[in-house]
Amino acid sequence: MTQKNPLVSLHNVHKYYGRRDLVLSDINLDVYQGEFIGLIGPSGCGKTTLLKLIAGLIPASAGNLRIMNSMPERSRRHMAYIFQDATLLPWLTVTRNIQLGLRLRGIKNADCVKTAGQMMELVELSKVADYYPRQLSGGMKMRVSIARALALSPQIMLLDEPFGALDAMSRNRLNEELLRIRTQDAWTAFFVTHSVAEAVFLADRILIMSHLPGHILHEVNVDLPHPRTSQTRESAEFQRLGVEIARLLRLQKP
Amino acid sequence: MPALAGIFIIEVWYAIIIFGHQPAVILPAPHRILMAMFEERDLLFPAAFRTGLSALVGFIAAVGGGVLLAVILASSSALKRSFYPWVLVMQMIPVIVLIPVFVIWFGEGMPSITAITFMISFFPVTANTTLGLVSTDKELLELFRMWNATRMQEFLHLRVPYAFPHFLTGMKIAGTLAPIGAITGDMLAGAVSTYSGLGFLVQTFRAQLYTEAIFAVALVGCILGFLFVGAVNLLSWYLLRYWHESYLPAQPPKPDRRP
Repeated sequence: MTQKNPLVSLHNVHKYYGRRDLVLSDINLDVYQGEFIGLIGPSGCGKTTLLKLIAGLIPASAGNLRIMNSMPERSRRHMAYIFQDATLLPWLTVTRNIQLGLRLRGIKNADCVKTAGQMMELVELSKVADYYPRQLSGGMKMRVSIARALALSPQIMLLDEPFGALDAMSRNRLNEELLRIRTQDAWTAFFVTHSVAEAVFLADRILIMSHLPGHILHEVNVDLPHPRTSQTRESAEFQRLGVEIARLLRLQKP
Repeated sequence: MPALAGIFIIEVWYAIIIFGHQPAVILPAPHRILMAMFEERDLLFPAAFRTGLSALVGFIAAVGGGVLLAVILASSSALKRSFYPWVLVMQMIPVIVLIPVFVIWFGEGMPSITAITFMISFFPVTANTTLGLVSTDKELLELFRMWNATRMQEFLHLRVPYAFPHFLTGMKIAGTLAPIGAITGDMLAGAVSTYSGLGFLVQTFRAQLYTEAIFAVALVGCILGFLFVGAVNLLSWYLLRYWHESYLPAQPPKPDRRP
């Protein structure tokens, strides 16, 4: 064994909607344990479709897709999906929302409560454990959503523009928090975003996708040192990467 | 404010009687209605009880049956697509027209009246509950799929609570219709010997041109309606008070200023 097996591997993956509409064209991608992948591209270029393929929520039309050496649906219990909306259940309190995934797995009540407690501490929400989602701000809801995903200790996190609806300040803060949380156990991440700065700040590797049909045009490695903090954003290297990616995105315009 | 408006309406009522010289047969004064209510209490209250009972039995059967049918319809999209339009069509049936048929089927009195109440309250419950069960948020369904939830888990933890507000809306409509259904049914299918509810009483008072008493029956029917709607509202408040938009304070508490 010279090289570790990729955790996620896609070969010649195509996705059609209906018979004619090609959404994803010839996606080839190997992702290794612990990588943080940023997916960036024009809106409607199939980024969400790609995440849903990996999650096994929709089937690929052609090509080979292996997650942890198995079919996506089989590996689902090792994956968590975070939507752009927090998708909390409004009739459950914060702590109950975080516990639900564990409960459905048949985990003992005491363990659910304990894990939820740890997760709330991690995302600094212990004070609002018994609040209902309606009482929380957008950023707090998103933190609950992240805590709920992490409670199941996934190996792969699929994040679909999770901070897209937040203001710039909250978004920066949550980006920093996300990296801080990830130092605890380094899950592999796929992070879809429209924001170049967000992608550069978070990712180890950025994939730039084309207009429909979505195709991976460029790959950019981000070698910014960890831990990344708000100061990282002021570094020359951060600025340089931002400019480069913005240029690559602009170039593909027909 | 509503109290003041109520006083104003009663003032207008008296004004019409005094200045319009209306005899009591046409429009009785409010105090005469109350007096009639008191005088006829031995007839009114047992009748109200019987009408209330058939309304209640019909209503409970309608809620039970409606929820059951909704669950069946929502369980498969083929079933829903084929039968849900018919549920909506059935809602349009003027049940009153069918009363003679019910009398033929079930005989005069309470069984027919309960059946009418059931028919009238059943479809709003079915239609609204079905709609609630099938309109579950798509992303929440995907979340449950990511959790590998079983169909049962998805139903109990997601579809059912999601349908509560719709179900309660249907139940509220049914709650307003049930007493009306029972009274109407009684007017047309009530029987002297075995059963006499509020509707039958109206027929008697009409024959006597006893207008005050008819108004008194209307008042009692109104109280009955309030009891039904009040009970449903109480249930609705109990189930939704913490999380549904309609029961939350205007300004939700802000425990933490951070994002």
